[in-house]
Order: sequence, then structure tokens, then C-alpha cells
Amino acid sequence: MGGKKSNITNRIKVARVIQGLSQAELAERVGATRQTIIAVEAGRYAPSLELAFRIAHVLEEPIDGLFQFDPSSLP
Amino acid sequence: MIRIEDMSEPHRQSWVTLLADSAVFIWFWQNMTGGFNFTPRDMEPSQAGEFFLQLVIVTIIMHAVIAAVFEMRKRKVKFEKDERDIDIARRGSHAGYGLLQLGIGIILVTLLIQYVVGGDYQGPVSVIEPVQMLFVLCFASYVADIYRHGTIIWAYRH
Repeated sequence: MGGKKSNITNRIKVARVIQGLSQAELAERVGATRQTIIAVEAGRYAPSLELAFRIAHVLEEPIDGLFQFDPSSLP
Repeated sequence: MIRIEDMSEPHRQSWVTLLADSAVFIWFWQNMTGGFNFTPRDMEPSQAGEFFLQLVIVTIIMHAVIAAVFEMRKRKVKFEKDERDIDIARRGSHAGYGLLQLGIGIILVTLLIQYVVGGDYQGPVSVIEPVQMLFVLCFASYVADIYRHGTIIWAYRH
């Protein structure tokens, strides 16, 4: 996970801004570092399922509304 | 380029370790060979022993100091590693271990060839003398550690 550009896109930044949270605040509430939130928002790191659920929970969004998978990447 | 204040503690620790390791490695390589080649210069056994002892002591002290300083910093900010830090550290260790394994393999094959061929051996690196063996083992170990931290830093950037 996180080794190559992910096929999962997300709209965490938009949802975070709507909630009025900074990257540091979101990081603290989900138990990650701010650097990880930056990498996830930039699509440089695909979070584990647990972290994805935590982010969705804090941002009060359904997980499939927050993360989108690009099916064209499937073989 | 990621700014220092935007780096996580393990990221900073890898940078410091990489720079310190590189400095010690250059000092070791330069003093051991009298230049930057792969054959140790002629040394008395006592002189070689003293030099390797110095290298071991410097390495232990350097790593202990870096680990202690970062441990104190992490306690101050109640730092906890998150999943990305753990993932990147694992990838760095995997890369470093792989390179170390390759280095040891090359050393063993060279030793075997040199032992079988004897005086006719004409390879670029000789490992038959104890000081030569110590040199290549320390060399491989340092290069693997530098590669490990380089991989970690690269992973934080991508």
C-alpha cells in the first residue's frame, strides 16, 4: 500500500473543508499524522480500510462517497 | 522538496541517519583504501584492528545518540507512528535487507572463486585476507544501511 500512485481517488479535502477541519485536526481525530493526511489527500497514499473508515466517520460521509475506485485499472 | 517542519519524526530521523551514515562511510572508505577503491591499503594487523574498533565504536555511538535524541523528541510531542510511517519503514528495511543479502552473496561467491582459483585469481576485489574480508563486510553493511534510509526518504516523497 502506498508504494505507487493509487487507483483510488478521494474527495477528503472538500469534505474536510466543509467540516471546517484543518489537516492537523483531522489527523489527530483519526489517529494519523498530518503528513499521512497530506499524502492521502494528494492521492500519494492509499489508506488502510480502517483509516478510510475513521476518516469517513469523522467527516460524516459514507465511505463510498469519500473514496472512488477507477475500474478501468482492472485487468 | 518537503520542508523540514512538514516532515514526520521518522522522516527526519532517516535524513539525519542517512547524512551521518554517509559521513562515516566516506571517512571509513577513504581511510581504509587511501582513496576510493576496493582494495584496503597495507596495514599492520594491530593498525587494522584499531581502525575497525574505531569504526564499530563510532557507529554504535552515532546510532545511539540519534536514537536517543529522536526518542526524546517523540516523547515531547507524544508522537505515535501511524500506518504510513510503519509501511514506509517496512519498505526501507526490506530494501536494505535485500541489498545486504546481495552483498553477502557476492562476497561469498568471490571468496569461493578466490579459494578455488588460488594464486591465479585476477578479480577486481580480493576477500581472502582477514582485513579484506572485514573491509568488504563493513562496506556492504554501510551501503545497505544508506540504501535503506535512502529508500525511506524516497518513499516519503512519492
